[in-house]
Amino acid sequence: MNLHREVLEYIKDSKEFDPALAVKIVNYQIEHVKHLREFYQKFGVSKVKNIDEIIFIPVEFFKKYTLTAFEKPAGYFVSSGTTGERSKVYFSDQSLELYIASMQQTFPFFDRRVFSLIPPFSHAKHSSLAFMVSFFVEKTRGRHLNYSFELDEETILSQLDELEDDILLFMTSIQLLKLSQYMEQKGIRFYKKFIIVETGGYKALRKPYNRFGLYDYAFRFFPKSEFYSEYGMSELFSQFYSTGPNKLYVEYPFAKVFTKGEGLLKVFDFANLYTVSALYIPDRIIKKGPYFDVLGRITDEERGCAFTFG
Amino acid sequence: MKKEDARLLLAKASEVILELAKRVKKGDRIGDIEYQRELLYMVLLHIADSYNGFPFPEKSGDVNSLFVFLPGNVPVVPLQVLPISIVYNLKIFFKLPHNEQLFFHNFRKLLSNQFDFIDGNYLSHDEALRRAEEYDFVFIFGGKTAYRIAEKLNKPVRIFGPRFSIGYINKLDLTEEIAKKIAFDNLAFDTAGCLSLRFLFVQGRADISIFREAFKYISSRLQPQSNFDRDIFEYGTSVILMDSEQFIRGADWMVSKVKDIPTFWPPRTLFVMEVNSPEDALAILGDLRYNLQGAALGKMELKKYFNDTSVSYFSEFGKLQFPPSGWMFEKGVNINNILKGVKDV
Repeated sequence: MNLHREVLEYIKDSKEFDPALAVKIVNYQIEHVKHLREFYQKFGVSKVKNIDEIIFIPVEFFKKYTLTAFEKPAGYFVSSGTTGERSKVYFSDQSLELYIASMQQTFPFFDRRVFSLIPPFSHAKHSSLAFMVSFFVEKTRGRHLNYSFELDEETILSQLDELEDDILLFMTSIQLLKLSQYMEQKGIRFYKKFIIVETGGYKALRKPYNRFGLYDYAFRFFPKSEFYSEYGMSELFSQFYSTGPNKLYVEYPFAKVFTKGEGLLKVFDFANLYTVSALYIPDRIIKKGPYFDVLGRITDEERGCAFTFG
Repeated sequence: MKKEDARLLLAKASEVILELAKRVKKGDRIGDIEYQRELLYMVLLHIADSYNGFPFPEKSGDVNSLFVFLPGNVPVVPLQVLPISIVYNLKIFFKLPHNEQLFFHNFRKLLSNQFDFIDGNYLSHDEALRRAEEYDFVFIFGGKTAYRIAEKLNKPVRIFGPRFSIGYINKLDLTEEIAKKIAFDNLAFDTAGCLSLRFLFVQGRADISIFREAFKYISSRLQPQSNFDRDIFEYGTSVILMDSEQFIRGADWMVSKVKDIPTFWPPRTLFVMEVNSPEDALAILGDLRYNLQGAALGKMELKKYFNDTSVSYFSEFGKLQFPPSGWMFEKGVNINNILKGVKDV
């Protein structure tokens, strides 16, 4: 069986992390992703033999280097950074097949109709988030309620009013916050039962992100709805959802978190077969068993006289 | 206050700093953060000594009080600011950082009643802004936050930072002994202080393997402080690996040879760059030359090349943490500049 098929089947039907397959993936990537090969060469490594030899690559590398196994990729996603350079993540039909397989395994509520305040992929052509949401909107015969990342609260609310109970509603955390603020201002409460998934993006507001605070606030205006968060980024083809106990994020065998206790996120994403699977992400997390919470991105804000980051 | 009285107070404050130094040497923990004991001891001795030779430029304006926002990464800043208050009879308040309050309180406790013009505490953000308005002049140490605070104040303000230090040496002068001194300058305060050496420019071909033993040895003497963020170190050093032409890495330090200024500057990391001349070094630094605080030089005659920079202190290698008496953190800043600032406002 070729590696693509093996990984695809593993994503669709894995019960536990497979270290041998992970090693096989990394060796494939060392062979086909030029800059990854160069990175391993700095350590004198041309091939890994076991899981302990795998090096987690800082996600920043996507900003600086072309990390792809494809000679002619079909397109690329761009990260949603608020400042500076953005990551480019190249894809082809093969990698999108893995992406789609992974996204269908990670959230238990995709049997519902999906609606979205996130613009469709046709309007946000380089957004992996828009790609994912559009996929589910089409698949479940849902609808896009919005065509940009901005928000016309009044129009949105009138559209929400027409929806049935038990639908799944995607929006960014800023959209959820702004919608809630608008509802507070207008004295509106919404008594339908939705499953609301916020997809992050709060850092654009340059305020500390407390998703539980956001849930509590939004709950005042959507008192019958359930709230979940999605943790994802263009560089990861697998997403994490807060469907664990106490709304913690849950790892999967094909998107395994290697951080022990408290530390920065180290994840091995099998769906990243054609880029880099072992990624090091500057988000501080706390992990217990298969669950984790994201404490925030490391920052140089309080480093006094010194620069930590240029 | 008469000059003789001020001298007397400086001498008394100096004795208190010596007492703190003794406690550090004995093994007492005197701050919330566990600092590099050997370094802190040496720096305290140096500051105590510097009080005795503090200069007395004429005061030419009307400033009677000073409010200081302290940084969270270098504990001795209040001790470096204090002589200004003594010499010019200024009421002074130190707004302590949230992560280090004990160091100042331990120092303050040892001062007698004669020093009742010195006060300090941790204050909430809003309270600190309110209190600062009651003073004639404000010092703020820090990075981006400092500028945000300054914008909110309706007072003359001087911001110190963010700053860092560099070294410049000819490859022929780079001996094993000098490598140890460079390691000392780099690892001091986990490279977080403005006088910690981050970039070393080597004129000629640089083989960084000379730093291997130096860093092994000095890192065992200057171990990470208790607030050392291993995550930032691990992540930052991973990021810069790809840009490194050559690197050596220990458990908590790294030396990386690079061609340009890297995006990430992890703690306890020395960047080495080969250049043909000081002009090359300045070209690489670009506008960062105006963020320099100190420069350690292989030969003091190289000073002239760094005129168009913000360097306020030139030293030999191994001496960056020990600026002379009366050094006011940044080029040209002394009490009269402050007074002029107040007058202009």
